Amino acid sequence: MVELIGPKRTVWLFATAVLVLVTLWMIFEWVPTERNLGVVQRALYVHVPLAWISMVAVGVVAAASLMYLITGKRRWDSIALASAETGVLAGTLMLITGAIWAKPIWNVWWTWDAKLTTTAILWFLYVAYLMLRAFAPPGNQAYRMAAVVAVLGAVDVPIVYYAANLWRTAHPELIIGPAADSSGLTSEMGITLLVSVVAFTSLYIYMLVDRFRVRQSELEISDLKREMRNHLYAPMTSDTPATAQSLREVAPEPAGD
Amino acid sequence: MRTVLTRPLTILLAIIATIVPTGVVLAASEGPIFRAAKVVGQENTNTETNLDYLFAIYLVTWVGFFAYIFIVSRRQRTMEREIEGLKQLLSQQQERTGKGLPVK
Repeated sequence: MVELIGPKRTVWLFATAVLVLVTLWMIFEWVPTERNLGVVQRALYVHVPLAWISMVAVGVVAAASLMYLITGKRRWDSIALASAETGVLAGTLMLITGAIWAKPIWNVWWTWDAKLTTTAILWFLYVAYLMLRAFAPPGNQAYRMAAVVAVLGAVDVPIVYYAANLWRTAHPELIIGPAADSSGLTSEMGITLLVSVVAFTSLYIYMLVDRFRVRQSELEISDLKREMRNHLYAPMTSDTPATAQSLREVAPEPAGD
Repeated sequence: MRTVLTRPLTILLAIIATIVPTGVVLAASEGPIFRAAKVVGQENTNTETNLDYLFAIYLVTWVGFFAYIFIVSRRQRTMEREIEGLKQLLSQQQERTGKGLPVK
């Protein structure tokens, strides 16, 4: 993952931007308007890819958390955190775009439909995961417990995915993934959706790597401060007052723990 | 520390254990709250009006993504500066005390 830095990162971002522009051109110029739903059906090419990347993100969080629980390596935990944050963002946007789309079609912003309800539960679970990480005292124990929550939370993913098939819902049937039936889409619609999914996946990878780098920097700062604390509050006396003072300001001695 | 962690975790797990089965059971039973889905229908498919909704969907999505990317990039720059500052302070300390600190 760290290989995607420097020039490669710029190339990736540029390629993603081009892909997004091509997708937008296809959505607004190339693909035909759906007969029954009208122009608002073009929301499909954003809403479905958002749902896709939020599910992929949850899968990555669960897998990375499991690896963290097995190996104990901080790198896995960093990947899980980065993916959780990106996934919650995508999930939030998916719920908002879904609500805006529902209003002209169903005449309500929200309905307690099986698909919508299970998706909202999944969103709350991963918001809880982020809150747990944010408010629990930092340390391996907190990260391990968050990892357990992430793994348990992933159980909701297949329920969300198959909700439209398992129960009678207002939500349309699956058009992406292993149980999909995309016969309702024309070939142009199918191609546009596919290109859009690829573009959003590329964007997700970029954001994941970006957030992962921030997490690595956070850990590096934390390590540097710990080293400074260990050095400062051990045998040092008053022989280095100026530097010691400035060091104490950036690395204050912890109150307890 | 264990108490501080255990309490919110217990609450969290209790919430998960309550919400997930309740949601699934409610969805399966198609109880009263799910009837709302049946009474809604296609009431407004006017192309002109729907353009506003389409615009809102694309605006929310791209503003959301760009804002997130901007915030993360800014945070990364701030952290890089902080790391540089900390390394400088450590090397100053190293020079004064003559003790070799392992600087990353």
